[in-house]
Amino acid sequence: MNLTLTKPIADDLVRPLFQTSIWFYAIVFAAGTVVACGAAAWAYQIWFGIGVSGKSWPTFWALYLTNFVFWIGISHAGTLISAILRLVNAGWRRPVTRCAEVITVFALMIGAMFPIIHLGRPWLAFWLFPYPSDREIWPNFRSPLAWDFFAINTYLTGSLLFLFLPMIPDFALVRDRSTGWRRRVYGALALGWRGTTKEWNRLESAMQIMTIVILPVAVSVHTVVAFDFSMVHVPMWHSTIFGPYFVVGAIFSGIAALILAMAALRKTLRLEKYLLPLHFDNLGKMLLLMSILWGYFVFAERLTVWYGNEPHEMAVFWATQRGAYAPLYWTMVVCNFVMPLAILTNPYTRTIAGCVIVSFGVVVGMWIERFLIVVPSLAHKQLSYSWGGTYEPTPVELTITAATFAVMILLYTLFAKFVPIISIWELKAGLPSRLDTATQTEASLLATRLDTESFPPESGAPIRSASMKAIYGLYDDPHVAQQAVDNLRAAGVADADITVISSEPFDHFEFGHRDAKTAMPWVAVAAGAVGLALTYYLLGAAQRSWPLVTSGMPIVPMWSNLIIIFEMMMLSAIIATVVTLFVTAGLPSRGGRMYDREVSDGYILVGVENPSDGARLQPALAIGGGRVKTTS
Amino acid sequence: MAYRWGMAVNLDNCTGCGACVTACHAENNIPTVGADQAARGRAMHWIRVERYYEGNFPDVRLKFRPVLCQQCDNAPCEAVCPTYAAHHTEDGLNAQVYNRCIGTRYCANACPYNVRFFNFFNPEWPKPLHLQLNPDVSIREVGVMEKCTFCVQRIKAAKTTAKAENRGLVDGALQPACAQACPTTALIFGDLNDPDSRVARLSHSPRGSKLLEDLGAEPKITYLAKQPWHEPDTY
Repeated sequence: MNLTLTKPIADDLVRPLFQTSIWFYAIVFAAGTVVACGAAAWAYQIWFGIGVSGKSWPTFWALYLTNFVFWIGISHAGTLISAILRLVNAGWRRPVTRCAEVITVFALMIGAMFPIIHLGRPWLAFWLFPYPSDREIWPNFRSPLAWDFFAINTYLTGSLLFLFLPMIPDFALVRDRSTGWRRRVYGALALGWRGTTKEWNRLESAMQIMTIVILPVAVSVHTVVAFDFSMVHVPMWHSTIFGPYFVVGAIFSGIAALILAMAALRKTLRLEKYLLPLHFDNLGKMLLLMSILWGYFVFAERLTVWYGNEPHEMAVFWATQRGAYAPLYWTMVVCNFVMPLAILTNPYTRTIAGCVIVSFGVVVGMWIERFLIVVPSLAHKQLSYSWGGTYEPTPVELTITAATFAVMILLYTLFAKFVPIISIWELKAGLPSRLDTATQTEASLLATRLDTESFPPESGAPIRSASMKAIYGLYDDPHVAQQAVDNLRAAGVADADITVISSEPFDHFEFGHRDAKTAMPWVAVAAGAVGLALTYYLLGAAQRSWPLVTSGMPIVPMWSNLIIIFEMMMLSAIIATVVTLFVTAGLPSRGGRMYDREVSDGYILVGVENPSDGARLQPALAIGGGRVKTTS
Repeated sequence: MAYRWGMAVNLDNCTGCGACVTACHAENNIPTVGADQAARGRAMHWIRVERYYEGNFPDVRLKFRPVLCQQCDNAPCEAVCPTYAAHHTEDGLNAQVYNRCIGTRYCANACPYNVRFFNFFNPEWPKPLHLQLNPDVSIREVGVMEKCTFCVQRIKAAKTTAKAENRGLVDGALQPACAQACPTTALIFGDLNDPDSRVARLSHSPRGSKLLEDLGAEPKITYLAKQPWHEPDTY
């Protein structure tokens, strides 16, 4: 029962790692070429000066900041959506989460490049980083750009770990199925993961904590990006609505990017059995919801400005509504509001193709939205003398912009080539036999893969040479494994000496949560408190160490320091959680423990390390078709 | 008592001749960017003379307003700078430390007066302008923001001299280049903390107002409104 269900999943999802199509090389070459052009354009800009871009007085920010906001927005595809779905325990999330989280990490890396690319002197970008430098001066923590550093740093660290942690069991699976260099590389990445109940329990606890911590962090990141604009007195930037407005737009564009990525994966990696119309239907509904929310925010913003009728704000308002930027504005409205409403409200058009068309439009529309926030306002500031600066992007800016999309495609393609893009163990853990009846109907949709052709795993050398004594049984049915555990207990083996190893967590069986008790949440809370106190102290100390006055603010302004304190508190909680996971689960481990490669084929291993009397345990394990093995 | 440098601009006296702009360029080593770059909106003038037209042709009247850095007490440009390149000095000056600037251009966006200028390229001075560079003022490299400093090099020199001679500064003896060059004395510079200085008295004139006063930046430049115009009917 167990193997027929789970082995094809692993075969299907690991196949792209071992089989390379010509399209892989074609995509890598094409995207790589565009990325190289972008790198050359950036080098050109560094050599000759930022003047090779189209910016001028008074439009000092333009395409690069547009890209910054856009890509940070796209980064809300993954971690945020994945965290929401994990939190509400939506069963259909399982094939979606990883391909979403990857978008976050790469989009965040791309987005975080732009504050550096747009600098006048990018070679001094490290002056933005808070470290005790020989210049004896700290960054100005009152600047929203300093908040950006902390927010992006926390979110990138959190997202990387959020992506990496659930990948560890899958790396172990690939390790067991490969030979040669792959075995060494994936073995190193798997950190010695075996799949003991303790490891599974710790991993799941850590993921639950990360889910809760990463949500407010994700919201804070795009809020801080919005603060870059709303903190200054520029018409139509200086708005209290900007924080939530940006967050909504970010999730909106993020879902669109996720749908596009999933559709591409479905076609290129032949994942039709895993990324089902159901997923696109659900994500399409979420996209529709965000479209309506976005429209609500835009209307609220526009109505407030129009009714308030302040002259300098009206200048920006009419420039976008009727003036030079009107074509862009109305394209945005069609892409972001009209098209989603027209196509996604109808179940007959809310198909995969329909979702992809709408998502493409939303990505374009949201890029335009970011552009319309950045540029028209700067050309219409309070003094009418400086009005009318028209901005036109130069080839350098356009090349770098194109390169960001290419680098996304390139990184995503490489990732899907080297890592199972769908979380194998999470998918297996969501199978009908693993779930209670309430979620059975949903899961039965996922069970349609029974007819999958089996992928032959590379035959390889025997697994690690266990130099220790052990006796264990291999079972394909978790019920039998439970019986074996009970038998061992009856035979007088202490619970702590019984090791259960599986390639998926078994939360619904007693043996699967023997080690569920953990102090990890308290460690995270304590670390958060320590991070809060430490940041409060260090920030104040840094600001007092060279008390420079800016804008008449206090030397230690609590309002703006709260943002940095919050980010550092969350970062401390995240790092403490992951450290606790590694320490308590015994990772990374050097091996030499009881293990059998067949675990990766779906067998459950129940055994005892260094038994005092191995032969006596033989009958306890030899039940229900289980194969008993001993090592010495 | 610390100094608090400020300026009064008598709009009645300004003829829009542009001598202040030229003097400022010469004093502060401001590069001329050339016609092409200027047409793209990258000309750098720390002080500019804004022209406003009133009435319809042929009955048109021209008004001038010299605009330079307003040296705000609550300068919006300062807090947004992540590297303290823009900060407030003890003299109330809105200082710009070129060496600290990494070119985020955030300050220029935050400034409602648009008096900050950016070096989009490395500066060049067409011959023979390169022979008249002021040795007291550093030149700025590509990627650096710059703006009116109230001729801080002159303030520093005057303060040093006064200290060496053990005396205070005499009102009117210290002038930035623009005020010095103004043929109609439309620009009056001085210490606002000295109640007897000309600039302090003019700042309290009923004709005085601040530019975009409602934004709350508390600029230290007072504009003295034009007196009502009387048609010259008898000549």
